[in-house]
Amino acid sequence: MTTRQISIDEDDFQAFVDGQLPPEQRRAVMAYLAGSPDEAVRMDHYRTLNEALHLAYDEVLYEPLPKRLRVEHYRGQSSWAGWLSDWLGLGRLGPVARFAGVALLLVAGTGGGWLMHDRYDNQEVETAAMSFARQAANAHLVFAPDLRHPVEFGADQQDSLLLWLSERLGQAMHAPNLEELGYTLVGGRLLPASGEPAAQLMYENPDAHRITLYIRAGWATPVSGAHEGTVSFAGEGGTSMVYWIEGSLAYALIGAMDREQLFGAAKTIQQQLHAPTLPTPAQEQTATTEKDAT
Amino acid sequence: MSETEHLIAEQIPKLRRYARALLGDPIRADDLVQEALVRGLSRSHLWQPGTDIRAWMFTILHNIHINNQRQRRTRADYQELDDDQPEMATPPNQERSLEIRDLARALQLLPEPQRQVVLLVGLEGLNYKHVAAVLDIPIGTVMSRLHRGREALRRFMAYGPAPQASGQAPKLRSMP
Repeated sequence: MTTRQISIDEDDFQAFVDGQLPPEQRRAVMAYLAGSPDEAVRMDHYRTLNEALHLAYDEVLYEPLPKRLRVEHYRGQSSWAGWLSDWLGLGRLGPVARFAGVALLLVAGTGGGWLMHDRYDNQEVETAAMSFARQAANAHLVFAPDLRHPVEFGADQQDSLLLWLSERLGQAMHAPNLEELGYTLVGGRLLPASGEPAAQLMYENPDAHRITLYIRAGWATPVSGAHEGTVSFAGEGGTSMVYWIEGSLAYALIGAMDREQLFGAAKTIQQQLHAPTLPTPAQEQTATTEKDAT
Repeated sequence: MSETEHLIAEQIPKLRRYARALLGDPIRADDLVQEALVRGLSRSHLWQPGTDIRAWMFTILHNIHINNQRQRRTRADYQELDDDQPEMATPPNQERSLEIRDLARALQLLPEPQRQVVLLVGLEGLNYKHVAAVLDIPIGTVMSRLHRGREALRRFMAYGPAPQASGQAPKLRSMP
């Protein structure tokens, strides 16, 4: 026990586990734990417990909402268009929403083919957006923490990567430049998504925080109902996602960022995708054709 | 849809997650969330912009939950203990791993006041002040329930050296 200057009590231990301790107190607890293996193990158990809770219950976040739990249900049916325009006018969502029509996320409604059985008496619809969000989240959770093979193609082969992804997704792919946000491209990979190809681009900042941009092609014509397009899902460190649809492409940006940052990053991406003359991969034209190094 | 309604809609999945973990029964949990949603919408004008809407909605949900329990208690002709344990409502045949099922069961065995705190902090990530506000208890109570709840779960889940809490330890013959 080295530090005896600051006294530590049980509350501090709990707050340590929950990340609710101010820095100096946190350091004191860490110093104490270093000399007290039993307590350190106990803290690990508490942390494991938090993770287990997420593992057990986070799936609820992705379950399609029954009608009775949707706000629209209490608003009369005809209002979705009005709701949508309300939403687009919202100042709060400024950055993304104002970006004319881009952040529009339309989800497939009851007509679509995503019928799922549920433990409820009625049939539920998993919207296309939900399954998309789930796939994007899963891809992030699987590959972002991967130290060895986070990507198939590294940033050093960006040209080949984009060429390959463009071919597979049937659309010209660009890797947005996120340097101004402190993130550099790590690389990317191709993934399956409901029978359509999807691309995952990964970025990393100097603190080794990774964010992923997940892009799925072949988005069917959207139908009734609108969705804001943000989902926050609680992973470790508060991972969140924003997603939006543009043409036949659906995008999801995922990372441990707060809402503002995430929307800011999404805006940057959208602007670049819309103005390919911006500092995005201008070299794409001159890409060498070495697309066969899976 | 107003901005506030929109913010309320955003809270639904999390309220749902919390209610499911709290009650252990998906349908009762959704009933509770629905009540909270309806009440939240009808009172959305009372919410003060700038304050935490999540804590506000959780408070509403919690108050409804308390009321429901009270009603159920007066309706029931049998007596329930004060810190009543809602009937073991583990959802039946769910394809979940053993460990997750164990956790769900262990949660239901926890006295509800502790379960609430453990879930609001550990699952929902609310800070202690918000938890105190949602449950309308002093922060010191939050901390002690958190500690006791976590210790109990740790034992249940056998993470820790399980000193078989109440039941007698297996009979080991000790040599005198």
